[in-house]
Amino acid sequence: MNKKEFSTELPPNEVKGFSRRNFLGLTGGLLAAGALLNASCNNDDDDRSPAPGITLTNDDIGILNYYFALEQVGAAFYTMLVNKGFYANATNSEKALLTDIRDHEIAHREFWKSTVGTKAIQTLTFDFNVVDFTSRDSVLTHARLLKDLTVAGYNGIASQFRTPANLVLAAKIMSVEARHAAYIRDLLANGSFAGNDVVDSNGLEMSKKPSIVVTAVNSYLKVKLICKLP
Amino acid sequence: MNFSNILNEISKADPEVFGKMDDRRSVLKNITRKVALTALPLALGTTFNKAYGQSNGTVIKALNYALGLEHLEAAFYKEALAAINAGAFPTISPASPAYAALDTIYKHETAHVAFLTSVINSMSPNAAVAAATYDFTVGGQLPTFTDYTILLAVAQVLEDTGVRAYKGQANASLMGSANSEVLTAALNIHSVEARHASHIRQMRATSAGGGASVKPWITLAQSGITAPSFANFDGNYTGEELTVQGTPAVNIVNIGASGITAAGASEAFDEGLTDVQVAELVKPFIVVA
Repeated sequence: MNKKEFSTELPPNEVKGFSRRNFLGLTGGLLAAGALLNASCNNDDDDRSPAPGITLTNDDIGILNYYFALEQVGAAFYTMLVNKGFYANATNSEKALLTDIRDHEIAHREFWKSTVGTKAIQTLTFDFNVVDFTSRDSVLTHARLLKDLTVAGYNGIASQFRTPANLVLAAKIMSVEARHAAYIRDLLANGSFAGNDVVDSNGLEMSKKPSIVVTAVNSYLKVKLICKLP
Repeated sequence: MNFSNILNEISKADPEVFGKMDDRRSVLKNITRKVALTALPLALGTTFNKAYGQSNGTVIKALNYALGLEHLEAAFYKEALAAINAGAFPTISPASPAYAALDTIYKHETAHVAFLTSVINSMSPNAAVAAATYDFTVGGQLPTFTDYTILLAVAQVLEDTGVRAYKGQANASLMGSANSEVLTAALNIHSVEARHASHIRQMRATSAGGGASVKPWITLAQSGITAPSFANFDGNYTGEELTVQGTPAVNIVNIGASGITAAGASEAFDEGLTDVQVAELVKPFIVVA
C-alpha cells in the first residue's frame, strides 16, 4: 500500500448528531477503493480469513489490547525515528519534542501492557519499509496519519467500555495523543492542528471504528490484527 | 485561577479605586463584581447554577456543564479576534497565521455551542443554558486584550482546563448503551480541545507569543505562565503532576525499565477535574449570568 492511497482513501466514520450509522457504507467504499487490504476485521469474514493474526476480542480486554496495539505501533515508530538520528535537518526543538513523544508512547504502551496483564496481546512486529526515515516529509506524513488514526481510534470505541475505570484511563491518554497529533500536523503545515480532515462541521473529532483503524494500522504490521470489536 | 486576594491587591495598587468612581451605579456594579470574584464557593456562575437547576437528568446536567464552558470559550475568542481587528496588538494583524489559528478555534467553540445546545434541547426543550456575561480582564486587572502574551496565556488556561473538564465527565454517569453516542460526541469534543491546547502552547513558545517555556503537552503541574501578582493559574494545573496511574497503582516513572522521567510520566497522562473544581477556576471570568 503506498502512502498516497493510504492517506486519502480512509474516510472517517464520524459521529454526527445522534442517528448517523454509516459504517457499512464506509466499508463498502473502502472495498471499492481497494484499500481494505485485510478484511479480517469483520466478523462476517472470519471463515474467509483463516490467516493467523492477533485477535482483539469484543470486550474491555479487547479494547484495552486495541489501545495497547496502537501504542506499540507509536512507540516503535518514534523509537526508530530517534534511533536513526531523526530526519535530515531536524531542528533541536523538533528532536526534543519528538523524543518526548517517543517517551510518552513507551509509557502508554507499558501502562496498557501492565493493565491488561496476562491477557495482553503479544509484542507486535513492524514493517516501516514504506517510511523514509531520512525524509522529513515522509516521516511526518506517516506520523500524522498514525497520530490522527490513534486519536480517532481511541475516541471511536471508548464508549463501549463496561468498566468505568477503563474509560477514565483512556481519556487521560487520548487527549495527550491529540496534543501530539496537533503538534505533528503543525510541523507539516502550521495551523493545520485541527483541520477539516479530522474535525467535522460540528467541531467534533471524526472518530473511527476499530475496524477502520485496524485495517490502516495493519499495513505497518507483519502479523496482522484481527478485529472482533464493533 | 486564584484571585482570592484581588481586593487587597487592588487597594494596595490604588487605594482610592472606589473613591474615584462618582457614578453610584458604577460603584455598586464594581463592588458587586469584586465581591463576586472573591466570594469563594458561595457564588458559582449562574451558567453553572442553571446547569444544576434545570437538569432533569445526569446526561443533560453533564452536557449543560460542557455547554457553559463552550459559551465561555466562544466569548473569549470572539473578543480576542475583535481586539486583533481593532489593532490592539501591533505585531498581530488580521492577516497573520495567529489570527487564522484563533479564528479556527473560535469557529470550533461556536460549533460546539450550537451542537450542544441542539442536543440538549432535543432531549429536553429549552433546557440548554444560555451564555453568561464574561469579563476576561477580571475587572480590568488582567491585560488580556492589550497584552498578546496574556491573551495567549488565558487561551492556554481555558483550553487546558476545558480538556480537564471534559475528562472529568468521562465516568460512569455517561456510560451504557443508551448514552454511548452522547459519550462519543463528548469525547470527540474533548480531543479537539486538546488539539487547540497543543497549538496555543506552540504559539506561546514562539518569540511573538512571548517565548514561553511550554511544550504542546503539560509538564508536571507547570502552567508556564508568569501571571500578575494578584492572580495565578496554578490551580488549573494542580494534579497534572501525577506519575502513578490506575488501580492497582502503576508507577509510570521508569516503567518497563524505559527511563521515563517524572516529567515525561506526567506529560503522558492528562488529568481530569470535577465540575466543582472547574466552576471555581473559571468563576473569575464570569460577571453576570
